[in-house]
Amino acid sequence: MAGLRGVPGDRSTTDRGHEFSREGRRILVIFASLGVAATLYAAFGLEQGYVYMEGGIRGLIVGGLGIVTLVAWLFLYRFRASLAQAPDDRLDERQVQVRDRAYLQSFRIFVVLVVAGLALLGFLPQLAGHPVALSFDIVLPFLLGAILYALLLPSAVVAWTEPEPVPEPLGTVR
Amino acid sequence: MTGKRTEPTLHNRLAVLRAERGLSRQELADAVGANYQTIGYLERGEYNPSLLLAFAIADYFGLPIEAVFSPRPFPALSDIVYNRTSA
Repeated sequence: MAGLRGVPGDRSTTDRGHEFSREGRRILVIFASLGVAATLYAAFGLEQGYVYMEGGIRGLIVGGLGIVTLVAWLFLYRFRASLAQAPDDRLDERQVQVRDRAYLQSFRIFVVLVVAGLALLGFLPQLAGHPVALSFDIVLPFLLGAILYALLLPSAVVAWTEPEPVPEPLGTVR
Repeated sequence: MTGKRTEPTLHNRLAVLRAERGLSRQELADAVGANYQTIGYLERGEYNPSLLLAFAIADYFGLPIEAVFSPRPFPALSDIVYNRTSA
């Protein structure tokens, strides 16, 4: 049909994410989102923060958290690849709406995270009476966090908000 | 801060037409260039189609668009067949 997006019959491949139930997808989102923050904290916070940890133990914790985060992210990526990251010609009009709405929500969440990060970095130590001289070492985990969350959020929002797929009733049609 | 915008629902006869013709959602979706889940969303009234998609679906069934989609609820087909109400 001219004027409609994409090629008929090519859209079943854009729903691989529905292999997961909504609950399963939300668990993946929680693991991936908290995993990014936990891995960054373990990698940088335990080295120079209030809690110091030896390099070997810290490496094990960072590695473990990193693997859990990566696995959750890879599973989420299947969802993102199917919808949040798909080009227009692989999606129909409803899926384009879902994807675009996810990017808007991701932007709002990202702004909140950035403001929270700036508050944590700039204002809280000042208020707590422990002013911190900002250096690249201190800012680096926040920069990495911003990059990782910017990449993660669209697929996380889609995975979180898409409802449980409703199966076609059997017996009504062939 | 305003709440969520609620769109009026566009009623349709997709489920009935599909059942009449023995079509699966996937077959209808393939024919009109949509995802099969979008057909499910349409049938449940959870998504309003664009004019293009609405016309594509009506064309596929060989019916005028107002026979498939309506801003008002459709009367039951049995009522129309037995002249208990007007279409």
